[in-house]
Amino acid sequence: MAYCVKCGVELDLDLTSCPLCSTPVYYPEDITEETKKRYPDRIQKVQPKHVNLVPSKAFVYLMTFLIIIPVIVCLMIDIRSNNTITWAFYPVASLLLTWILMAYPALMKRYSFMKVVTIDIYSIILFLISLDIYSGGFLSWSVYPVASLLLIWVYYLLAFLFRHKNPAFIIIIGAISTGLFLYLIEQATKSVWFFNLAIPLLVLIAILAIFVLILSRYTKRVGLLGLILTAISFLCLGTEFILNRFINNTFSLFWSLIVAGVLIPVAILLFFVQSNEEFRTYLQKKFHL
Amino acid sequence: MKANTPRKKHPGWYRLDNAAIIYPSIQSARITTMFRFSATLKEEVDPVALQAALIKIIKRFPYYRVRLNRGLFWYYLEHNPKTPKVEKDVQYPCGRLTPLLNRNFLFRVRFYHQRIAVEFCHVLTDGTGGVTFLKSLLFEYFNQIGKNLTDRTGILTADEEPDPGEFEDAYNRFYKPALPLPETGESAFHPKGKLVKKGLYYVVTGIIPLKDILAEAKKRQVSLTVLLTAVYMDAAQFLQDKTVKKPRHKKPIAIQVPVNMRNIYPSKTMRNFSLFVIPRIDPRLGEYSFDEILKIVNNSMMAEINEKSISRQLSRNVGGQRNPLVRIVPLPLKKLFVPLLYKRLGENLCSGTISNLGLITMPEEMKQHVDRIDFIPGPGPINKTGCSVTGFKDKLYISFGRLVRDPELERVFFTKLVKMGIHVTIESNI
Repeated sequence: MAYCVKCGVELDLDLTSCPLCSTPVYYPEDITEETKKRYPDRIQKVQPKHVNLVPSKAFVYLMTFLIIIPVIVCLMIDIRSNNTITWAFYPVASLLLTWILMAYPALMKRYSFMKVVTIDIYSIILFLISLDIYSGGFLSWSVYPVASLLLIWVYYLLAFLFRHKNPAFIIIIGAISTGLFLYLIEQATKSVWFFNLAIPLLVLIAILAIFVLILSRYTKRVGLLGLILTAISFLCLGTEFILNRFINNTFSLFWSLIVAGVLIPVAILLFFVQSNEEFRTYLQKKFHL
Repeated sequence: MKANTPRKKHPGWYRLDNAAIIYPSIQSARITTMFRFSATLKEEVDPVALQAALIKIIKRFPYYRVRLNRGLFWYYLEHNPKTPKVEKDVQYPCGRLTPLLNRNFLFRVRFYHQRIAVEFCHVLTDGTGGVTFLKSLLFEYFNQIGKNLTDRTGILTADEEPDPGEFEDAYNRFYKPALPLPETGESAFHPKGKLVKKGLYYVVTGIIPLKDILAEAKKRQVSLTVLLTAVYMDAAQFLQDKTVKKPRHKKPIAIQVPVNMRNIYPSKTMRNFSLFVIPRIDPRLGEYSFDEILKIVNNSMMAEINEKSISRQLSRNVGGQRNPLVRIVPLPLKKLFVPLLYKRLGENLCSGTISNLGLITMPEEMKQHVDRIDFIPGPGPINKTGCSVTGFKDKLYISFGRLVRDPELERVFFTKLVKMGIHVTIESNI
């Protein structure tokens, strides 16, 4: 049995220093028997983050009844006074949408966030289109929210479902879907900017992204920063070129040259730092924090 | 009776008792609201038998076989159809509740070599409930491994029906309306120190021969709780003197001592039923000697542990819960205010907590198979260190749990005891 020389307390066999004052323990006699530790080394598992968006079935039943009452009231008032459904379509459709958004995840056998978001987006799209049709035109104003929702859905798929796929694949799919979206908007607004403005900008961004992606395999931290700076300056050059051609039909460059003139030398310096070890150590030595 | 059907008398859900209502809102990775009892046996624990014992004994404690759920206005406890499972012990006890990994139960049963530990969330019960459950579990476990115990005095066994009195919220039963509010006092000194990483919890246990410390208490003509509280207070005073030099910057030192209300009111409840007395000294008036502290602690405990004095606290707490304006507030809003309330009326008023469960008794034939009973307090980030005391057989087990690296308070506390000529053995989980 050991005692702490400072605190005067007797110490448990498995201790190598005093838990109170950290004084190391000297064992006069060799302890040969395997002494068990008082507590295991195991650490309690941390619970994964979990958000439960699924209401219980009982809650859905309650909400169903609460929703049915206004639906009946709206329909009755409308039919009594107008003999047909006029304004009541809007509250009834909205209540049905609310019900679908809430009840679907609860009634699903196997819960998946993916499915819920997909169903939510598509039921909102249906809702918008039906409102549009009911209020008099087919796909008049609803084109914009519907197209945006579809685009959001594609982005969402790319971010969650295909996130382990090749990044180049994600970039290309993302660019194509964005292009389609812009084309739809162009057609809906009856203007002409898709082929001369949207396509070149999209292609430029996609190509630069793919280049950065490929080259980033051969660079490290500082070099990656240089790479991104280079890409930004090329993006500015390209954007100004495309814009000038579209608006004025001229080919001269001005502000993007200033951006490039600043960023490209910095990028070259960064590449140099990455490649020249002596220079890198010099910088680390002089400026270490 | 089938395992999964709740008892007839109870609809399968329970309101939280008056003390429990705050805990779900304040529980976090720091304030885990868990406390722990462990029993060390004479031989290695058999996990299979322990699991069998747990499944049998949980039927006797339907009020613990619950999960926590949210209503519109309050949390509530609901019958949990799953069966609890024993698990391996960990290095840092009293860790945060993990309902997803723990089948939604609010307690855990853990084992390690010769030790069986139960960790309870304070939502379920207080120390008395926890230790009763542990004793029942041990009794059932011994029967499972063929020890065939017969003497069951003071033990709730699996074959009897739970008493309806065990379910009650005793706070509400003994509530007297319109009593004057208790004095709250100003905010107390809190030990300084940087909190350790979340999930870590250092435990230091001191083992003391019971007869030595009882002799010391007798010599000073005070009870054991008073003596230990005074030593704790003295240690806190030492800590404040070390960190705060200017007397006018000092704050009162107050130690929270839980009182088992079952000794004051006739209740059999197995849920929370404890309140606090808070003896305090004010170091701005000068340094207190140990004898002065002892006198103050003794007098204030004498004065405050009685039905009349403590009913003021009870009346305030239950009155708040019954207030119609409070009840109508939706739960998400309540959750914003409860931590503030907890801080103002709870943690802020004291510099530490010392919870003495007293001597744990059990039948003699069961006692011979058990080596020791430990009680580890739950972590608290404001006072950083908490202290729990149990006595078993001829030893006293004083456990400190802390959320800071430096065991300053423990060191002062135990060296103080050593200087009184009491032999202390130290263990730790570091």
